[in-house]
Amino acid sequence: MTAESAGLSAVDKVLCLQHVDVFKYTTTEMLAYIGSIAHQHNAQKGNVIFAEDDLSDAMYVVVSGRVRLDKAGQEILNVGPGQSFGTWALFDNQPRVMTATAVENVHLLKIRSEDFYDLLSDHDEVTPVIFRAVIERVSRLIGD
Amino acid sequence: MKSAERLLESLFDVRRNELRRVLLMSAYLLLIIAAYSVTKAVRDSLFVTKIGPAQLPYVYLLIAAAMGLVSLVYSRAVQRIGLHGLIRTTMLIAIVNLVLFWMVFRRDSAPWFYVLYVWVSLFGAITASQFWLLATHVFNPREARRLFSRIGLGGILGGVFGGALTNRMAHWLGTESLLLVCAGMMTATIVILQRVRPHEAVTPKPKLPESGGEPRTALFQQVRQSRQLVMMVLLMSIAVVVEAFIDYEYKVIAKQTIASKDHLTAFFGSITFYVGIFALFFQLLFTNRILKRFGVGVGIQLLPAGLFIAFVALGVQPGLWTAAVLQLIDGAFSYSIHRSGMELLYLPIAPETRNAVKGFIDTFVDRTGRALGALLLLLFTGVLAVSISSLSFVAAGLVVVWMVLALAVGRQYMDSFRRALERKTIEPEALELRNVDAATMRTLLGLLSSSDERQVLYALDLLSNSHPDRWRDHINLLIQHRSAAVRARTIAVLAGWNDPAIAREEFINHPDYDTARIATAVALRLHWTDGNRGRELLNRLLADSSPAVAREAIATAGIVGHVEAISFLIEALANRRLRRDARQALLKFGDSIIPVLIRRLADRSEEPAIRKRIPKTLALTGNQAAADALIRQVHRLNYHLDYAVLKALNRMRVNWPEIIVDRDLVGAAIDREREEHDNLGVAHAWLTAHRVERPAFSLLIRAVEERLEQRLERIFRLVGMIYSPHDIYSVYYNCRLKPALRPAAIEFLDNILDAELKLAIVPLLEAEGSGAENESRKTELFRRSGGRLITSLEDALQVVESADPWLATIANELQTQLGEEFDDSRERRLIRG
Repeated sequence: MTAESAGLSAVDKVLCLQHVDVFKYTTTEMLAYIGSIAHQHNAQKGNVIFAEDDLSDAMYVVVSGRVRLDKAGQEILNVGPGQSFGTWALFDNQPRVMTATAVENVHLLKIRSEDFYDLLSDHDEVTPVIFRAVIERVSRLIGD
Repeated sequence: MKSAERLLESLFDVRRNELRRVLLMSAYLLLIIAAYSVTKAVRDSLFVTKIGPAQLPYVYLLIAAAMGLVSLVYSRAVQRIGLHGLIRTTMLIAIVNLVLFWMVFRRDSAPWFYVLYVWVSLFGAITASQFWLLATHVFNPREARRLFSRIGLGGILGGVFGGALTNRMAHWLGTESLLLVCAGMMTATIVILQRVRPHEAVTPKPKLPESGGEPRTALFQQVRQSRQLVMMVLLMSIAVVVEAFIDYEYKVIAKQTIASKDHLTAFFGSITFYVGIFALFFQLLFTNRILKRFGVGVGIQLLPAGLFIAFVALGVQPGLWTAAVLQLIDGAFSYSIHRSGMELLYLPIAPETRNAVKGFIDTFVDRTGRALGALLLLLFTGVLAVSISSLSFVAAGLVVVWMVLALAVGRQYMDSFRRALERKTIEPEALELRNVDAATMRTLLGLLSSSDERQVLYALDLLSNSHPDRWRDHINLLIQHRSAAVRARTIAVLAGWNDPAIAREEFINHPDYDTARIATAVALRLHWTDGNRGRELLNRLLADSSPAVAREAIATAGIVGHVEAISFLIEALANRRLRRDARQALLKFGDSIIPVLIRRLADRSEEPAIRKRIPKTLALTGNQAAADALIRQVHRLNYHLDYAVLKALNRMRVNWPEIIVDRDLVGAAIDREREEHDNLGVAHAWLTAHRVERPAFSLLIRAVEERLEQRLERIFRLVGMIYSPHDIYSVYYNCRLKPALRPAAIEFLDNILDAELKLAIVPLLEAEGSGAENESRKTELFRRSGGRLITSLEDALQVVESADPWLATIANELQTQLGEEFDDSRERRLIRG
């Protein structure tokens, strides 16, 4: 993975984050807060972004490019612009269950869980809407 | 002088800065109790010689009625005058009355003897209650716990002094003239009062136990729900009934034996003197030992047991010496071991219940018991005409009932104590362990071996007032405890007592160094003296890098009222690790913190993270002044702080419905919100009608819609400040989340709002509900926005940009994205303009 690339504006970040499932109930302004802790990263084609059993410490949102997620060598998911991966890292510290690899050159937003919790503490109005989305997602998983 | 000070300090644990107040208050108590003792002897002597003891039951009834009446009038009067003014007025009235009585009694005037009898009883009750009320304002709670028992000795000495004075001066001056001596003593109390200054800046207006709080029926209900309290009421009632028999028989026999008025006064004085001496010695030498060794159960049996023997003796051999012994036993035990034992019985009662019912029980039992005693005396002496001897046996029978009840109460006490320990309802401050008996102590020490960490911590809190010698066997176990919190608390308690155990290796080389500093922070709280050393140490601990240490230091700063820490505590509101503790500590400063917090909230140079936390802190004060200050800040801050203020005010209205928010200010704030809403509404209507296919444009529309939603929520929050918050929340909830219930919610709102608000709010909800951006909606918005005309994207963006920084950010981004297209349009408009 390479160093941070040229900056996205606050509005650009919000436009990327607004489609992330766990942020579906946040307001645009809350997304701007989240955007302020989202760091930009580029990864070259073929680079591993994180590997299975790595420490979960951040989630990612794809700005451009594609990322493949596979488990034990088998592709599980292929994510593109506006989609996120590694989201559960925000809510638990369990090892990664999949490996994420850049299929092409990718531009990502990375949100570290530690920064995320600091943000929730400073902006406590964000917490209930995140909870709402997470609970909805868990209910859906249980329902499935 | 210095050596005398040092002696007092070492003997009575009175600190140098407290000495003046302790001496003044002790002298004050001594004088009022002495004056009461003298007037009581004068009253009794005059009444039994001029009116006759047969009339005593009637005056008991009069006293019961008068106390009820006076407490009613008094409780209303005290709301209007400050404490100092009230006491001064009472004293002046008392002095004038005493002189008037003296003048009236130079001529025999029968009704005035009744008046004096009732007056003295009221005088005793009112001056004593005023004294203790004043004492709670002269000493802070920490000083009060340590010093009140010492000051109370002034009261016993006052009885001794008053008794001796009466005995000596009755012959010399004559009974009636002693009233002038009392007037002189009361004048001296006014001089002392001028020199006593409360420790608080503002003297709160006092309340009698019955004057405020819960209604009488609710108090009855609370008493009925506790078996322990019901039994205590019965026990106390029978004691007051027996007291009436003692008083009556004592005075009848005294009158029969001593004919001369002045001799009788002197006799009453001497008995008061011996009662005081006996009570003083018994209290100092035996009370704690007996309570500790034999327990409360035995402690509360001593008085009835002594009275039983005295009544039987009086029944067998009626005479002055047996009557005097009866009076001595009653007075001496009542003011010493019995009072201490009865106070201990309240220990297992939850503090909130105890505080609510104690005053009520005292006054209720006193009045009803006194009236019942009077009626029984009238029955036995008036209707059945029994002799003093027979009356003594009747009283002995009543005392047997008393003893049986005391036995049952003693057993109930241990059960209640065990249950209270399990529920953790006993306050450490309330537990005077030096009076606790061995069985109770065993139960308490048993908690130290509990597997539940919280129980062990609770036991340590309870034991913190007790010298470590009483639980030294457990120290080794506790200092090696698996719980760091238990280890820390153990060290803290030991440090608080300056116990040599803290110099042990386990303490100095404690594996968890934080524990030692936590312990120090807690220890400071337990033994705070406000000295330079303590303040510096606390300041250092507040700045400690360990959050656990800082948290304990913050709690200590709040509890001891460390003013230097206020600034730090406010800044700690921005620290998520310390925020909760800092908030609690700030609340401990009481009303004085409100203006400080408001200043920091209004200060634009203040850290935003700190300002954001201030409204909630103010809300938690539950104080009207905080609500008044908060509503004045609305629309003076910024968009987000305004919201925090509105939330805080809503919280206050829900939690403290008695808080009133200024209607005019709320009305003005609603108008302002409505105006902002309408301006954005006009811009939103134009933007949705002229959509541009740009992601930033869609984002802008979404952001504007969110702001419209938030403005509407703010309007409802404001309405909830002047109407029932619950009703308004229901309407808002139904309008936003349950479309089917929207019409009913609007109808409800239409019925409850006043005309002006209705016009401002109902159309807003109706338009929202219609969903369509139709022409009439646009016309309405146009009208409401003061005729603001939007004919271009530039106009719309101008409105949006002025709304708040976040909307301005999106609008600017959109303008950048639209680039030349947008600039051309603007140029054309400028040329046309």
